[in-house]
Parts: sequence; C-alpha cells; structure tokens
Amino acid sequence: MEKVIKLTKIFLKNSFSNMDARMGISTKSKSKILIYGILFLYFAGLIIFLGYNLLDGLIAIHQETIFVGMILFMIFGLAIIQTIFSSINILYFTKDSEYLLPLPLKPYQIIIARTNVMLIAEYVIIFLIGFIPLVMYGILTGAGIVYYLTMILSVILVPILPVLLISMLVMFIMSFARLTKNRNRFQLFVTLLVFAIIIALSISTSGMKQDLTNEEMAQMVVQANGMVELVKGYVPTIDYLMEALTTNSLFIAIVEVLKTLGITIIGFILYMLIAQKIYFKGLVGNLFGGGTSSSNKEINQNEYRNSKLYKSYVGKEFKNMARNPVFLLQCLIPAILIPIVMVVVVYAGLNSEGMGLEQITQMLQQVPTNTFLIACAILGIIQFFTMFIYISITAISRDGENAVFMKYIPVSLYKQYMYKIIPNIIMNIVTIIITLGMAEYILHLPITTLIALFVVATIMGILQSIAMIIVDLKRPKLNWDSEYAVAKQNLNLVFPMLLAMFNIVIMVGAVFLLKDINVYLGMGLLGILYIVATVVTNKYLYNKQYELANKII
Amino acid sequence: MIKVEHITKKFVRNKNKKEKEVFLADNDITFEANDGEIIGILGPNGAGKTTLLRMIAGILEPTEGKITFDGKNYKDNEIEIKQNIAYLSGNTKIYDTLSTYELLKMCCDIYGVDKENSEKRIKEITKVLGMEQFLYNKIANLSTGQTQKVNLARCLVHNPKYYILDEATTGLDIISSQIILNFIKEEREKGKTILYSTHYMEEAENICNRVIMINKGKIIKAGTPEEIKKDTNTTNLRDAFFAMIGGVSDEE
Amino acid sequence: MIEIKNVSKSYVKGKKSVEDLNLEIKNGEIFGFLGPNGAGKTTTIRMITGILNIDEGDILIDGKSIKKEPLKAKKNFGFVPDSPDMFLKLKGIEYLMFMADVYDVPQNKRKEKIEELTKKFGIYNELNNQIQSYSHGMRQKIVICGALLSEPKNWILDEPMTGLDPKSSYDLKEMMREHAKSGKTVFFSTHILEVAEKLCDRVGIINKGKLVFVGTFDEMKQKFKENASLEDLFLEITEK
Repeated sequence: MEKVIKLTKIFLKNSFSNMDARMGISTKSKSKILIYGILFLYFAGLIIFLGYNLLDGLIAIHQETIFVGMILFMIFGLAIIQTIFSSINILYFTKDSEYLLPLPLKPYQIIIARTNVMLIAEYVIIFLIGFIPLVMYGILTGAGIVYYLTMILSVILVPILPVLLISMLVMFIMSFARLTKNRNRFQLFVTLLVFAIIIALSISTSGMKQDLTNEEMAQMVVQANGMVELVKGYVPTIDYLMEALTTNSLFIAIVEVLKTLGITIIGFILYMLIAQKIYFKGLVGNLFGGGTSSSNKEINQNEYRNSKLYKSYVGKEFKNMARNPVFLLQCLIPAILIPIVMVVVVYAGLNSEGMGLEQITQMLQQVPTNTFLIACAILGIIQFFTMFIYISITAISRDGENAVFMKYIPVSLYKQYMYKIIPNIIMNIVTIIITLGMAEYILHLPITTLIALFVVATIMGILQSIAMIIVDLKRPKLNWDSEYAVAKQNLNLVFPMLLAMFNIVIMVGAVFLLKDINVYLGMGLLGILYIVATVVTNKYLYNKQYELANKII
Repeated sequence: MIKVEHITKKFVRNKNKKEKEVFLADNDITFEANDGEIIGILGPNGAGKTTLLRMIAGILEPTEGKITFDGKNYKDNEIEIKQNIAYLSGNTKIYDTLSTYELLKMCCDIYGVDKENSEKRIKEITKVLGMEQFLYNKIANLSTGQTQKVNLARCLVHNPKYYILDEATTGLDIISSQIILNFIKEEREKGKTILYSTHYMEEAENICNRVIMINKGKIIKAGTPEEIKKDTNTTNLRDAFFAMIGGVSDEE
Repeated sequence: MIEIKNVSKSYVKGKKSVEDLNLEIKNGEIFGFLGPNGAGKTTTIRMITGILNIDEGDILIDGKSIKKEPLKAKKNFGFVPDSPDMFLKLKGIEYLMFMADVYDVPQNKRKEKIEELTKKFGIYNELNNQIQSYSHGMRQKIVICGALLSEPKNWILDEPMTGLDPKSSYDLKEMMREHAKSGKTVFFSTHILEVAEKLCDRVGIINKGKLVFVGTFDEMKQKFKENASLEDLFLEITEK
C-alpha cells in the first residue's frame, strides 16, 4: 500500500505540474495561486448563482429533492465524460509506462495508482459542481448533521463507479484494439461512439414526455427528473444515495450509504480482477505492437503527382488533424456537431413543452423575421457556435517541437500562416452554413438576407482565424507530450471565447444604436466594420510575421 | 548469470486486408551472460535487439523459450528479479517536472531502499556520475548528456545485480559517454552481469567481453571481439559487422 | 558554400551562447562541426537555417544572406534536424511529396529521386505506412530523404548519425562523399570523433560558444599532442 501511495503522489505531481506548464502559468507561486483563485471564485460564483436560482424555484413548487438527484446525476455524468477523455491517456499514453514496467511493482499497485490519479482529478471538479450545490441545499432546507455527513460520503462515492466502469471499458477496447488493423482509427471510432451514445441519451431524455404541470419550472423538472429516473434504473447507487440524502431517518441513511459502499466495493474488486488480467496485455501491446500494418507495399503512381503548395500544405494540416483523435474531436468535429446538437436540444426542449415546430413557425410568421434584430441574433448564435473551433488557436502549438520546420523551409512565414488558418475558415463556413440552414428552416428568411448573413459571418470567421493564430504565435505551447495538452489543457482556448463574447457585445450594441435600420443596410455597416477589422489584423500579421515567429524555437 | 534459452518473439501483423503475417522479431535466441561480464548486443536497426532486451527486462513476454536469472524465472520470482535488474532504454525524459534528487528519492521508495541507505546511495551515485551540479535542477532543464546520467542513476539506486542497457550512450558526447562507460566497467569488476546494446562498434570492441550479433531476429555470430575479427578476417568490429551483414538491406 | 561572418548570439543578456563565430565552408567540402553537448553547435545550426535570429554578424548560403533574403537562402540548403519525430501522422510517401511540393521538385524527377533515396536506405517498402509506426532509425532516414529530395547544393545535418545502424550510417557517409565530390557542400554536426576523422575534409571544434579550432584532422592532431587517442585529444581541446 505504501508503494501505491508513493506512485500516486508521483503521478499526480507529474500531471499537475505539467498542466501548469502547459497552461502557461509560470512557476511563481503567487501569481499561480492568484490565477487559480480567480478561476475558482469565478466558477464557484457561477455555480452558486445558477444553483441558487434553480433550487429556489424547486423549493417554491416543493420539488427540491429533485435537486439532489440532479446533482448526483451530474457528478455521475461528469465523471463518465471526464474519464472518457482522460483514461486512454492516463492508462495507455503516458510516457512513463516503459519505465514502470521493469520496476519491482505488482500490477495491482500500478493499476490502483493510475486509477487514483483519475479519481483525484474528478474530485477537484466535483468539489465545484457537487459539493458546493449540495451544501447550498443543506443550508436552504435547514438539514442536520446527518445530511452533511451523508453528503460528503456521497460526493466521495458517486464518481468511483463511473471511473471504474469507463476505465474497464477502455481496457477492454485497448486489449482488443491492438489486434485491429488501424489502431488510431479504432480509438477514434470508439471515442465517437461513446459521444454519440451520450448525445442520443441526452436527446432521448430531454424529449421524454411526462405529465405536464402549469408551474413555471415544470418543464425543467420534467426533463431533469426524466434524466435522473432513466439513470436510476441502471445506476442503483444514485437511487440509494438520493434516498439517504433526503430521508429524515438516521437508520435509513446509514443503510442506504452502506448499500452504496457495498456496491462500490464489489465494483472495485471486479475492476481489479479484470484489470489485472487485461490491462498489461493491452498496454504492452500498444507500447510495442511489433510494427503496424504494412498494407500495401507498392506505391500508387498517382501519389507522385505534383500539386500546388497551398493544396499540399492545407492537406497536410487537415490530415494531421483528422488522423489524430484528440485533434479531430477538438478541432474538426465541433464545427459540425455543436450547431446540430444545440439546435436539436432546443428543438426537443420546445417539443416537450407541447409546442411543435409547426406552431413555432406559425407563431413566427406573425412577427416580421427579416429584421436587423433577428439578423444580429443569428450572427450572435453563429459566434457562439464558432468559438468552439480550435483550429487556428492551436495552429502552431499542434506541431509541437516540430514547429521549427516552418522556419527553415523556403516558404514565407505569412504564407504558411495563411495555409494554417484556411482549415479554420473552412470549418467556420461549415458551421455558418449549417446554422443558416436551420435558421432558414425555422424562420423562412429571404435568400438575399441569407447571403448577407453568410458574407458577414464569413468575414467574422476570417477575423477570428487571423486573430487566433496571432494569439497562438504569441503564446505557443510547443513542449507537450500528448495532444491532450494542446487541445484541452491550454489556457489559450479562452481567447476564441473572449472574441466571440466581444462580437456578441458588438451585435447587441449595434441593435441598440441602429434599432429599426433596414436589415441590408445594417448588415452592410457591420460588414464594413468587420472588413476593416480584418484588414487591420491581417496587416499586423503580415508586418510582424518574423517577430511573431520568435517564440518558435 | 543470465541465461537465455531458445527465445522467440512472434508478432502478428496484417499484411494486407485479408492476410495476416507472422513476424519473428526474435527467432530462437540462446546465450549466457556470466557474472563479471559485459555482453555486447549488436545489429542493424530493426534486428530485434530492443525486443530481446525488453523480454529480458520482463516488459514483454517471450512467445517461446526461457529466461533465467541465476536459476530464477519471471513466472515464479517476478518481483525478486525486478528488484535486482537495472533497465535503461533510449534517453527520454520522464517525470521532467521533478528534480534529479526527487526522482532518485522516488526510485529508492519504489525499490524499497530504506531512508538511511537511500541518502547514502544517492550521494554515492551523484559522485560517481558527476551529477553534483544539477542534482536539484528540474529534469526538464537538463541537457542530453545530463538527462542520460539521470536515467542511468535512477536504475542504480537499488544496487542492481543485472544491467540491461539499451543504447545507453546514443546521442552523448565523448565526455559524457566516457563517464558512463567507465562506470559500467567498474560494475563489471564488482561481478555484475551486463547486457549492452549499441551502434558504436568501437565502443563495443572497447568494453565488451563477448559480443552477440543479431540480424533479422537471429544470432548470426557470437564470441569475443578477437574471435569475431579472426573469423571474418578483419581488423576491427566495424568491418566485421559489414562482412557479416553485407550489403543486405536491413528493413526487409 | 556557407559563410558565417562574425556571428554572435545570446539567449540571456550578457551571456553569449555563440561568440564572434567565423567560418567558411567551401564548395566540394565536407565540414564536421564538433563539440560537447551544449557547446553551441545546435545554436549555430539554428542560426544558419534561419530558425534563430542572428544578433550580430551575418550568414550567407551560396551568397544569399539568411537575414536579408531568407527565402532565397533557404532554397539553397537541405536541413536534417536532430530530432526526427516529425509529421508522424503522415505516411512516408505523403511526407516526401509534401517536401517535394515545398521545394518545387519537378514532376518528372520525383519518382526517380524518391525511389533512389528510399531504396538506398531500405525504407521504400514502408512508404505507405504512417511515420508514427517507424523506428527511430527509420524516422531519421525518412527525414534525410525528405531533405535531400530537392538535390540542394548545401547539406546541413544536425547529428545525422544518431540512432542509425552502421550500415545506414555507412550509406549516408557515402552519399555525403559523393555530394562533396560533385562540388557541393556538406556541413554536419557530430560528437563522434571517428566519424569526423574518416569523413571530413576539415573540422571545426566549438566549445562554450567559441570556435577553438578549425582545420584538417591531421592539423588538429599535430597542433595538439601527437598520437594521442582521440578522446584525449577531444578532452584537451575542449577543456582549455
């Protein structure tokens, strides 16, 4: 056990201090604490605010126990999603595995230590989204000491099972993936599949119709309750803990917590048994899999064809993203998935409130849709979607230490920057087209308005692309050991969000200032504004192309 | 003494969409390494050296054959064997946010070296490998040569009996590699058993009691450097290497 | 031809990593650049290739300044960096074709050149696989192939022999010899003295940012102790 604790400590220290370095936080502990403190307070504040509003509403309709279920469910769901992302990395792609294997460690020691790292990472987040709201619940409902003790135990116990479950799933897949022809594609496929299941699950629950009440909160309650009910069937621990947290009887609370503890322990024993059998096989297989497929030794003559440099360069960027599961998920997929999911969820939400699409369209037909206000709203929504496209903001960092390549080939840096942002612009356009398509479907806008919207949104997309590559050039993360570090644990990723927020503020400002202006005139003015901004930003990139590359060494 | 008997490692890889191809990374390898001996493992890229050393270090399981350390095998005495080996491969940085001292301390913990001895041992190693200057620096900031010293050091804290060193001096300048080679020679004098793979033939000729040449997974020649030179009618190991491997392309 | 003129570079103010370096690598010459780890070899190579800015002085490649006409200068050399872990997600052939597009290799030459180079290094059969699946040595080889594809006049190689087996490093050395024989320039860094002794027309030794010796290998031996072993020689030069 002593060795397990020591291993856990090392793994943790390594992964957390790595994170600091990646997020661009200097080792100066004062500023570090300040940054973490601000981030923490910000999120805690946000959660308290949201939680309070929700809980207040629920108490008003005497449905507050649902709140407990929702929070437990959220902890559970979050643990699943987090583990999907982190487990493959922590279990299989950490660099130290080859070093650990020849050490005199029993397999279970390594497995437990690795699992601990995943769990502890969970607890950090769960403190925010689980612990704080549940304390709030306790205060607002005037709960006693039993509640708080049960609550602490619940917060500790709930994430364990999902972590074990997902890790086990990943282990199964990986011990199997080693046999498949193309490991990368297989991993990607699995990740996408899990995502699809989660999305399908959330859509199906949000669309579930329950008895309708006229209360304000009814629809939310129904949805939330639906989700909790659905999960409860499969995850008894949530059920038990809900019972334990909402009961007044000490005895019931103890029994329910013990039941949960029992299930968790059984789960852990099963996990250890299975993990000891399959983890190391998969790990070793993936570490030194004896060469991958040599599918076709003859080279297709077509491969020798010349192509224009821009095609070849942009193609390289796309290949690099598409063949890399993490980059694919973070850079390419969101452009398509986010608008679709958002719209479907909103649609399903409206539907379950008893309003069909037809009613909405009918209702909308009575108000003029072809206005500057609506146009700005659509642009704002597009901004909200495109801020998740991380192609440009990671354009340089994705290359890692290999980014110096840009500097010794005989192609001007500015041109290369342009090649690198083209994928970002393309994915922006994809998002814009999808969003406009849906807007058209619901609002029936004239084609001229759609074109105007498309043009303005595209210009904004180009501005985003150029501005974000400048940010990445100024703060590149070139020393990383897994793609995860670039695409997730990267403080730069807040910049697209900031820009989108800024743009939305401009939209709101424009609506206030120009009010009932003709939609085309308004779009024209916005268009000119953004063209000027884009030209200025582009000029900056062009003039500073060499200075900006100074950080690439 | 490390005894390797008829070791074979099979990998299955897909040749094309339907057919599978069995690929023998190592094919029927047998040799012995005695106490107080440095055995050089030589061969072109992809010959199977690294796979062989990984099997001996207990990372990979051989498909067939037996590996014993003074009569003990992995199946029955895994932890005991691992407690006595030092395995070093390549020169990557691990746990680079730790300082050298912290890393060594951690290794002591894992190998179960007690507090008193670990301080003593770390001091000793630091001195032998000349790491005093950067003992408290973060590993991330060390140069290649320093990193490799740290890598070697972390395998030594438990005073191992068997050394399995895979390209320990690749990428190092003469000064750094000299320190490492001298250290290995000293360990030999203490009666340790050392397996050493390298691409530098001069180095192998210099320090190895015996060498084993591997090509395409098979031992093609084994013996003392002198014997090999005599058999191939050459004056140095490099020429002997070419005499045996010939102009054959090595990636087939 | 590569001319390095009074070049200095410092990362930290007041501490020069490379100080007043002067070197001329002539056409038809193989020049070995020696020095212990951390002596300024990599910094120098990074300045020659335009990766690092030059604080003082200038570097000309076939008469083109890397400072003033970087694109023209970059066209004149092929560079092999010390770490071959590049473009891991591309297939070997895709990487080579990308390099061919970057360096404008004419259509009719590509096939011939790619086959010639990759067959020589024995990686032709692996070209349809992702570089990620290559061993260290094979990655090194494909990067070398990529750099030599455009038949650049000047070769700049940073530790090219690291990780290559004797056969491949022999092949590479032969290619370097041929290249120099046809009147072109090879500049490479190494810390293996034997390589330098057998291969180089001239060597330069850098230590602590300063050039401590330039000349033929024999001159180096004469200047320092006669008949001393290579290691001693090296130690003596660098420890002064």
